[in-house]
Amino acid sequence: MLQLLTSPYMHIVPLIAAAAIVFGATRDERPAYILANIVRSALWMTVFLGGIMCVLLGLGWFLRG
Amino acid sequence: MVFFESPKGTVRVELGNRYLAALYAWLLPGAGHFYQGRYAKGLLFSLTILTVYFVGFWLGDGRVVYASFKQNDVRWQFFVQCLVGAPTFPAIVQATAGSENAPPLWIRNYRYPPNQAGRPAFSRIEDPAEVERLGAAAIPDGFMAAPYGEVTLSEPDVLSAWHAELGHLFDIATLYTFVAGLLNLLVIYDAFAGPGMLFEGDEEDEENPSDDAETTAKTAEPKDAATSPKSGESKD
Repeated sequence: MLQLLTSPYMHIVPLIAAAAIVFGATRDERPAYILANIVRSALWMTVFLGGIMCVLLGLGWFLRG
Repeated sequence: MVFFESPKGTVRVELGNRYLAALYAWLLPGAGHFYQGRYAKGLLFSLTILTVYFVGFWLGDGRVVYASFKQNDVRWQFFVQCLVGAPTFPAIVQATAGSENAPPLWIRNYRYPPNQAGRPAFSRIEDPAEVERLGAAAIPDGFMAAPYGEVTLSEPDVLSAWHAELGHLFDIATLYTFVAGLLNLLVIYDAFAGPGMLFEGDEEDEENPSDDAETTAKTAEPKDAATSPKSGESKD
């Protein structure tokens, strides 16, 4: 767990948060809707990037094996 | 005044002089929204984008934001980084001041030239006496300046020394400052044209009655507003 927290991959977390905040806030003017957009954007980005990472890890494992 | 309609109601946004707002938004993230009186969003954008930018700047030891158009070092990332506005202006000054081989302004430190016995090429000089001894042969590192001297693909140079010192952080820091620029592009557009309201978001939040009240209160002249979420504009 500690290894994961200190890995270079963790640099993506603040970027996802910042991108979700800015993207979410440019979608509406009402705070509740902005918050909903932020959460949805963050989830989408996490799932999308996580999916890509899983594919790459799977490919790496397949090619090495 | 611009109206934005969605199935949940109409939102009014006072954009003022939208060209001026976009210019301010570029000069300093969030400043365009402050000009328009959208203080909360302005503060949110300002804090978020400047934090990402300066964290990237710090991770890259202040070296990843520079403008260079030299052979083998065309810094195309700078075109996106400079969307953050004023914080990148020193790099523009460094790129435009002086001739091509002139030393940069605001020198931070010096490096050993190649072929110095016992010294790795382009390593940092820590002792000021060494800088005096080397004189003009010492290689300067300027604040937000491009790597001094030629950049080659086969020999060590200042840029390769930066990469060696920072490791993967050079690329991560570049990414942070790059993303900050991209995000400010969204903010500039928001200051220029208002929010890009999403219909699908409204469907998910139908159970929030407080927002309904808020948006209904703001629905003063919704019938004149255009039906598209981006085009209801009136002159008042």
